[in-house]
Amino acid sequence: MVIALNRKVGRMKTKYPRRTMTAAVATILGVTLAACGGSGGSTADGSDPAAGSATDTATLTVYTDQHADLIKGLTDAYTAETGVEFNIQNDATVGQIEAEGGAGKADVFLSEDPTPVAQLGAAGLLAPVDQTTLDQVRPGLSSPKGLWAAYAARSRVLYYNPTVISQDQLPKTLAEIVEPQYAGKFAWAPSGAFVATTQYLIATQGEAKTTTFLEGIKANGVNEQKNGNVRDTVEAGKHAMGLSNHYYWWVLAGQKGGPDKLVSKIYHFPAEDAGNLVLSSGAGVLKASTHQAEAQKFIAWVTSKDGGQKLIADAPAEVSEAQYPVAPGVASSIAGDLSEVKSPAFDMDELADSSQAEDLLKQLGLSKG
Amino acid sequence: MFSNTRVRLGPTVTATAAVAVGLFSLLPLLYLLATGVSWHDIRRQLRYPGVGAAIWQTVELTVVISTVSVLVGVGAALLVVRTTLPYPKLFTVLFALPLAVPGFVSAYAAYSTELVYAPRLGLATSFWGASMVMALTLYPYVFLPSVIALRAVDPAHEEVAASLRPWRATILWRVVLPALRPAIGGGVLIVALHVLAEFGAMDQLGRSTLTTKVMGEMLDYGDYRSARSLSLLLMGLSIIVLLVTRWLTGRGHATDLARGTARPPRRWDLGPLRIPVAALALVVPGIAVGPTLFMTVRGLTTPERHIDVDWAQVGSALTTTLGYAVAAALVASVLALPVSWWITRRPSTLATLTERCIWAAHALPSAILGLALVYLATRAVPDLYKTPSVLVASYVILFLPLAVANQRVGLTVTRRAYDDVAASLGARPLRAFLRINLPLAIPGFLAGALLVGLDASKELNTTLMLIPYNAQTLSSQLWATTNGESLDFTAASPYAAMLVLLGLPMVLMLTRHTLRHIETTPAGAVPRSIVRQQESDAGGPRAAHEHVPHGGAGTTADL
Repeated sequence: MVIALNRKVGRMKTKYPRRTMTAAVATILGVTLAACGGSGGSTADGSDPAAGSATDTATLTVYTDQHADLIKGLTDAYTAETGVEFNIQNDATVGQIEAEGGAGKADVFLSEDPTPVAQLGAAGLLAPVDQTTLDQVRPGLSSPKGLWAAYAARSRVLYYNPTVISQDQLPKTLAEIVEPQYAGKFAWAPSGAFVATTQYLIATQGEAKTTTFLEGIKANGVNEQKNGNVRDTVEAGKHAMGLSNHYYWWVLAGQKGGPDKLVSKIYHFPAEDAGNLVLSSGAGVLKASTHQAEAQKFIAWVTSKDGGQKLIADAPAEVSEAQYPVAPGVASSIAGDLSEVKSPAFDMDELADSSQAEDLLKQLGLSKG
Repeated sequence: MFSNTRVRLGPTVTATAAVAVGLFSLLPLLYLLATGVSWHDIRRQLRYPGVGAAIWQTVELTVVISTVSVLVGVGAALLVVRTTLPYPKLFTVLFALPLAVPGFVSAYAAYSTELVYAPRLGLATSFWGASMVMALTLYPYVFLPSVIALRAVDPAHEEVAASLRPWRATILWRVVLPALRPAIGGGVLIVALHVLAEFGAMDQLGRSTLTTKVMGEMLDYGDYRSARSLSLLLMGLSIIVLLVTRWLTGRGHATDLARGTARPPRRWDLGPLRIPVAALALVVPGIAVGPTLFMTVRGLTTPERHIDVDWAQVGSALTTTLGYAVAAALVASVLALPVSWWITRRPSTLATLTERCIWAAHALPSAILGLALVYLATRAVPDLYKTPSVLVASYVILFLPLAVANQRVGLTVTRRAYDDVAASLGARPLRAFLRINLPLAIPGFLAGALLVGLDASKELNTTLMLIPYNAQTLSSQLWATTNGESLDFTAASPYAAMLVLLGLPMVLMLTRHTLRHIETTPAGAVPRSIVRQQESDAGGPRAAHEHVPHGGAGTTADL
């Protein structure tokens, strides 16, 4: 019916030569054809799993919520080395994978925060990662159950603006930031990393102590909604300090032409502390993947010293996002070595169910949105 | 007799098609019900202080932003149609310009501009600041139909009213504004539903709404059940909006209005105030798109910049975006046709219900719609999943109402009497439709298609989920440069610039249709286009009306 109607409209055009209509129809036809031509190519790659397994050059489908430039950097390098092509789903969520159900196409999930891979693991959707791959990564960063391997890491930090507060006035621990002298002086954001920190605090210090701390954050801090905003507002001098992740600052430094171009500074708490919590980006292979071997091989490469880790360590900030490589002996050329961050031990698979933290944050009105 | 049976057959086919389109629009609701929502969940959510506050703020924002949009939109329309404002055509384009900028980009730009110049101000992230930013991106949805409606107000009505010698403001209030009700009602519907469903801009402006809560559940907690339950509340709010705007629209005005042959309205002489008023009028588009243009140009030219723009990538994102947008506009126009035809020609409760159905999805956070289509496509048409067709389908569901609303305006121009005339001359209904109604309704169709295309090219959340692997649109690329956080205008500016450049011709085409209702010459002289229109008018030359003084004697003679 649609086609018939279009044909009628097309014929009518000749009977009623209206300039606008002719132009519109011509544009529409032209662009639709162009779009269909383009789309034909991209679907041919993705919808034929048999082609992948038949030859060496499989096409792996990567679902990721990691920064797109980093994933592009990693997959492009792997393609150059092995010929393996990629279908990439950026901004992927566990919800999308669940909604896809049996028709899911993902072979590999590369997360930004540990929570999505922990959730996929807990839902029984991940195949165990090869032990040799897990052994390539510094201990304590991957899934203790072996369901995903860490391939990058970020640490929680405090940003501060030296024109507003001097370094010796900064709190020595995360807990100190809720003390009266810092009231109204710091920004924070209810990001995934903040939820993870809360979950960590509940697990290690109990709910009562965590509640008191969060009430202090609510009373004394300014919710800037996003880690990027925390960075920008501290840099602009709106706040003296801000709780965020390390790499946002390095990304801005990269854009401005170096760390010395920034007014604000990055601060790690001096001793092992929840304020330095390191959170892994995890790589997992979907159980339903029809490319198990290729997927495991890719993850092995991503976590290997001479493969993905080298790229994360040496790439410019706009690609690596200044995230820490996690293989032993490999340090970020921008942010330094992960061992300099004094983070407490943390079983990140616990983040699969952060309902306790979630519930507490919502009760206190500290949740996002 | 023969033609009678055909007439009966016609509406049945139309009605079936229309109902099918209505049901198609309700697909997301099917997903919500199929995957489970629970009252228990909603009750649990409502116990959290943040959720109640978010609902209340959603209501407040919807009311405030809609009100400001009406004030600005109608005010701007009055300025260009009914006053001696200089360069009314230019101002029409300027006032429509915010349509070219995605809401989340304006929000990021306003936020960033404030950080550059007044980091401690906190205006953009305050309730009123955020409301203003949002209203200034949305008011064109009120402005454009208001211009058409204002032009269509038969001056005779005003002249009768004026003969009773009331205050001029009374005429505006009692004669002009009631005639604007359909335009205002339709505009508010679009604005309010945009506010309900907006995520990116609200998030950046620090406003907590039901949609940001839904997205928070999905993105921060991975709690999809709660997200779906909260979406149901959002649908409830959208039903209230539908009822309120129905009341705003009133009954019967639309058909009375759209004659398309009314004389040009009289203009209020601004006198010496012309220049100050024009300067003041510039402030509206200035604040609305100024920050975006400023941040984009600054991003493209900053000396600190050392990121090389991959213009090939930008170009391919541009063509992809254009392709999807055109496909969406085309499909939405075709699908909207039976609905708009049915409701204008055979208005009935079922027709109204069907028409209202297609608005429902417009209020859902687009990420929920995206998930719904992931769920349904992978089960019903797995081969189409991750091809452009599912993405285009999501655009169609989202923006179908824009096509229907504009087609209705177009179709009311062609009167049912024409059908009868055509029938009396032996034309079959389809032939009558193609030869008489469609050509007359084309401007409304084009406007609808353009708005669908424009909104589709700006869409983000559904796009991220449904776009074919490795493909990029301008907004998904722009989003990628944000890293899910703050918009970095040095990296984002090429995409922002392309989005605006893509939107610009669409806005121009959209206003071209509207511009026919604006005369270039302020007071006095009658523009040629009007004279031409009037000469072809059955009523004969009426140019003299431009000079009829307020409440003057010549008025009634023409009635």
